[in-house]
Amino acid sequence: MSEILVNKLTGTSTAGSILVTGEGNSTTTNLQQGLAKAWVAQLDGGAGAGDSFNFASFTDNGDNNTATFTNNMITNYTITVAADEPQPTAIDRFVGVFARSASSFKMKTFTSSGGVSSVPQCAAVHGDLA
Amino acid sequence: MSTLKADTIQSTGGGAATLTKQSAAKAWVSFDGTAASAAARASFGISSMDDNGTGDYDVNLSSAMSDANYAVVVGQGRYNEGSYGGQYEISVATVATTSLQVFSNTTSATRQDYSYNAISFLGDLA
Repeated sequence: MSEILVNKLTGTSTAGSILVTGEGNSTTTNLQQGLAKAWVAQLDGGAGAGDSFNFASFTDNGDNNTATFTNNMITNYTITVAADEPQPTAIDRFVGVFARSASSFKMKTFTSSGGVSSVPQCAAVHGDLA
Repeated sequence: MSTLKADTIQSTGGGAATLTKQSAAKAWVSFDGTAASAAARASFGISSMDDNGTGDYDVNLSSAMSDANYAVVVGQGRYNEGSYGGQYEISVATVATTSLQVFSNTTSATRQDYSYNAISFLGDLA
């Protein structure tokens, strides 16, 4: 196997666009577009995160958290989420995303009866960096 | 810092190069389920959206996945803050190599259109 050791990849035609061949060898996909631009694991009710990438800070707003990017996004990005429920007997937690902007978004966790839950939140962000 | 400039990266055999212990999403979309034809706000690897009716959508991929065993992760917004029923969920209905059918539901399992829906696709391309 050949191996290239390098610290930075840049497109020659467009700096922020590099194609990689797909697993089936029949098509290509854009590397930059596929990479998660930010993620956070186990963001709890006190805005403390288990781990994260490209977030400068988390703020506890009481019944929701604000996640603020280190490097801003172009506004129409995609946020996929999950509730990190540690208790196997507790079910039906929903993480709702709101107040999306280029620099931050908010997440609130609900119970199925409409109450607020402090169950930790996980999120991944895909889209374009500003 | 060393910089490698290239437009396309392949393995030496012309196939997929290995990104050490990492995998990129092959497609993602953020769409407004209340808009006509479930309009995408932004997307990657998505050829089109179909609005099949209330809370029922097809997401069509630009490039096929290798099989129907790929991972789908979703996100949803918050509806009607502060009142009961202020949450909803996105469920995966039908998974195919070139498309995905999803439902958006209230917590009482009624299909409903909502403004913020997010889906990411992870797995192998065909």
